[in-house]
Amino acid sequence: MKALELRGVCKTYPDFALRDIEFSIQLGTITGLVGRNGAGKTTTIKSIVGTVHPDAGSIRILGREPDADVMQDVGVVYDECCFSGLLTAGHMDAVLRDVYRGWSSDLFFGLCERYALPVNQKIKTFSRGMKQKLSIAAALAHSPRLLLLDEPTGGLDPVARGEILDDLREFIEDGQHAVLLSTHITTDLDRLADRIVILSGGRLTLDESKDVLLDEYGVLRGAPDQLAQLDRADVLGLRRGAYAFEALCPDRAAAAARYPALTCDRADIEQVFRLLEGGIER
Amino acid sequence: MKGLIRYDLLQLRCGVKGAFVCIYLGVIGVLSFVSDVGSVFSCLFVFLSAMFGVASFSYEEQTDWNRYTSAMPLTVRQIVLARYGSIAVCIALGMAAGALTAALAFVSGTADLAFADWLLLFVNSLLGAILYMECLIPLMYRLGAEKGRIAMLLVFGVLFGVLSALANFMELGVEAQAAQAGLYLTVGFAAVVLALLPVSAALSVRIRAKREF
Repeated sequence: MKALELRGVCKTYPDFALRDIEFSIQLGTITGLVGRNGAGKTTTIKSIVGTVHPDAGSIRILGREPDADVMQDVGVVYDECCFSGLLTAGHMDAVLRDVYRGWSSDLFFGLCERYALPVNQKIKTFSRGMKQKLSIAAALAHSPRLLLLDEPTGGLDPVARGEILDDLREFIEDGQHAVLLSTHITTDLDRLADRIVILSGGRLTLDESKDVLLDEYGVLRGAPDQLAQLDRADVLGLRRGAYAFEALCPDRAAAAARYPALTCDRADIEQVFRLLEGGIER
Repeated sequence: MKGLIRYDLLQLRCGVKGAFVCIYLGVIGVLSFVSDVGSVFSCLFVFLSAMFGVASFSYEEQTDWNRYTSAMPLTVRQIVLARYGSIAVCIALGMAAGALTAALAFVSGTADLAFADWLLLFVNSLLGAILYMECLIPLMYRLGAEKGRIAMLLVFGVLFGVLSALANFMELGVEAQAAQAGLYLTVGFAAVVLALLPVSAALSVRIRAKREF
């Protein structure tokens, strides 16, 4: 059973359209969702949880159509804390334990203690990072099987980010849980993700295993006058600068053999993402 | 659903300065004892409590709580009925405050209405508050809190005007036949309000289900 499956999901707005988004997430994995601002990451996550209604396509969560019952097993963390600033973490425990069957107050307060969150202080006094940690604690406290996080670590200091990432890794260790993590911080995904999905302009441009990306993909580099020798069919993305170009190729070994005059290095997720976007550097 | 009602009520409670409420109720209590405003204020409390409950819409839009609830393991129907529930609790608290104010007025002998007339007016205030809730909730879901405030004031103005006219009618010391007419009107009003409740809820569910956050 897949944790999440999207087939042909489309959503059209007046100035933006999500088109034919198709990917799936296996249990026991962390999938990173990467894209520029406005690429459609948040719209994709909102379509999954039902906050927006897709115009076409199908979504299955844990093998079932999304409904109120399935959402018991889904935890969501948005980029901003959605809890009233007038309330405290203690109040939120009282609220959410009546909503989620699997809610554990012990787990929630344990996470609050781990993240150094005061339980009886109004949420409006929390910093941005503390509010995000509270959202994450609330998402984990009902023991979901699928966790959807939309830019959850923005505003967190490196120590807090490390704690969250450790918790996410621990979350999927038993092979019965899955995470979809939308983030700009690609170094987190280098550490954590099993799979990378890249969106650009509302379309899915890459859906690949992280190990394949890091082991097999490569970045060809050369001088501008060497660009002409490059067969565009061999590259997935290209960035041209005044003094050099960089090209993303899906098979580093083959590219190194074919273009011995060019440098061919391993790619990291950030390079893959930037090169797929392409463009000209000033 | 209980969780959402709890959230709304906690928010309303935490959003109000407790000291201010105590002072306000204290002043009204004293006025009920020394003047004839107690019976009028008793009915106003019921109505104002409904307005107070509708403030939950503003709160939820400020923090995108409505976005969060859309991803909860709750149906749209449960989300909407929770809102009706929280406002109903506010109305019940308003009734308790109103009844206490009226009791002070009657005990002190300053009430300017006979008990039966006051009771009729009080029941009409309750029905007015429920009607206010029935009108406002679908409007707030449709228009949002920002534009819904205008609708809130308009509906309040109309209903308050009708209730004030009824209060003046009662204060004139009407004849037995007119008092009986008031009773029949109240029964008719109650029937309309009760009949509108499922219509209002169904409309709210329909509007809320189409909204995106």
